[in-house]
Amino acid sequence: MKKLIITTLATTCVAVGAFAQGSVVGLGGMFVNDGVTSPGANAASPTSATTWFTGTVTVSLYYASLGSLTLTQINALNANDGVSAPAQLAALAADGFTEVSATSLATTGETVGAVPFAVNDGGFTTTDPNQINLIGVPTGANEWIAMVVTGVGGAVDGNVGILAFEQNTGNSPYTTPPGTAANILNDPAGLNFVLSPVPEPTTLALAALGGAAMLLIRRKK
Amino acid sequence: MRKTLLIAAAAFATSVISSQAQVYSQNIVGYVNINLTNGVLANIAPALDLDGTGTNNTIATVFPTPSIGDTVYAFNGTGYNTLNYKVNGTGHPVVYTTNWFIGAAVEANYPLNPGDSVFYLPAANQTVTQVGTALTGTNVNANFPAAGNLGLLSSVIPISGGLTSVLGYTPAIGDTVYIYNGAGYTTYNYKVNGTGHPVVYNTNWFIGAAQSEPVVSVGQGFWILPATANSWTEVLNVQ
Repeated sequence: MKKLIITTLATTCVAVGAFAQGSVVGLGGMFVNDGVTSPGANAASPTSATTWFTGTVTVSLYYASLGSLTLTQINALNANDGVSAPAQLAALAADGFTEVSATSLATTGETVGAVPFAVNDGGFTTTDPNQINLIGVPTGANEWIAMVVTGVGGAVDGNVGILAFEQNTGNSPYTTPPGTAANILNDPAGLNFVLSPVPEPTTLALAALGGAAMLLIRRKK
Repeated sequence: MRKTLLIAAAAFATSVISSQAQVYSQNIVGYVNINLTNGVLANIAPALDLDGTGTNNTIATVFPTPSIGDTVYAFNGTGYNTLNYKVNGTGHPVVYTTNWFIGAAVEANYPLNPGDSVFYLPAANQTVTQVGTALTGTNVNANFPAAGNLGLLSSVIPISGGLTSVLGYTPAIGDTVYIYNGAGYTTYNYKVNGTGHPVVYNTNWFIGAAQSEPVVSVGQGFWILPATANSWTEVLNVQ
């Protein structure tokens, strides 16, 4: 399900890819008190989490215009942080977020996708690429940005943490002279990115099959 | 942005007297004030040098009293290295550090020498006071870009005036200079311009069709896009 939703979101964004481009910078230092965690007790809480993640993740940024969503909708999405990644992915799609993060700083042939980051003790440690270009977003405007952090390898492979927040989109790096990027907010949502499992479609199908079988058995009894 | 240059003194540091000759060591020292407005981007430069070498200035020496939240954009040839002056937290329990950072890495020693310039986005109204030495003699701008490439420059010596008439840059036809005006760029082209009938040709700096030389203030930066291989040498002789 996760792959299907993410693919759908990525496809949608192609349509807007030819328009304005912004850029954000400073992801390497965005966590002051917050960070990335593995599932566990209080994993979403910056003050009481203990499962700080060390490993590799990818980061994708999604965009929705500020006027298209209310803060209540954003809070509802964030409320499922560490509770239900499938619900967060579904909300991301329902809220109309489209993936906008470019995978390189190239001035031509930009593709939208995820950018790898190393994580140590919950914080991003990668400094290059420290700037992420945003394809198809208004420049210099405050908009809703959702950050999707996906675990790579190990026990959290494919797990995702999602938080949405209001963020300035910065200026275009493709003008002459190039525009300047906006700083990504520190601890933007006040929550940790909890790398939560997303059941694959086969897993869901098996679970449904098992549930149906149990119901049948109970009815026969 | 108001800039004040006070070259306060020619300090005659040494005077060695012998029966045959006198030797003087002269340094021009002073300070430059650059006023910045909260949230307003400015293209500013190190106007003075730390130690007379022209090579040992850093972001921390050029901007000694930043405000938390200040951002500096330093051009790296393709994009910007973005430096933030901030409180950074690492580890659990969190250890806080206040410094210039690129991402999570402390970059207080990021080089920023006369001849270079950066974009500065202040988080508060502030006055940047640069104290140092004016570079004298013959100085070649080390940041001058190759033909067809952008460079974010400033004058190596702390003198304001026309880029060509005062600061000594010899342009080539096709050169472009961009000076940030607070909202966008004023673009200057060095070109052959024809006016009237019969046409009279004039080779000079232009904004559109209006002849206008780029003027650079002390502590101000600008973009240059040279059309051909070139260089920029400035001379400041102290008598």
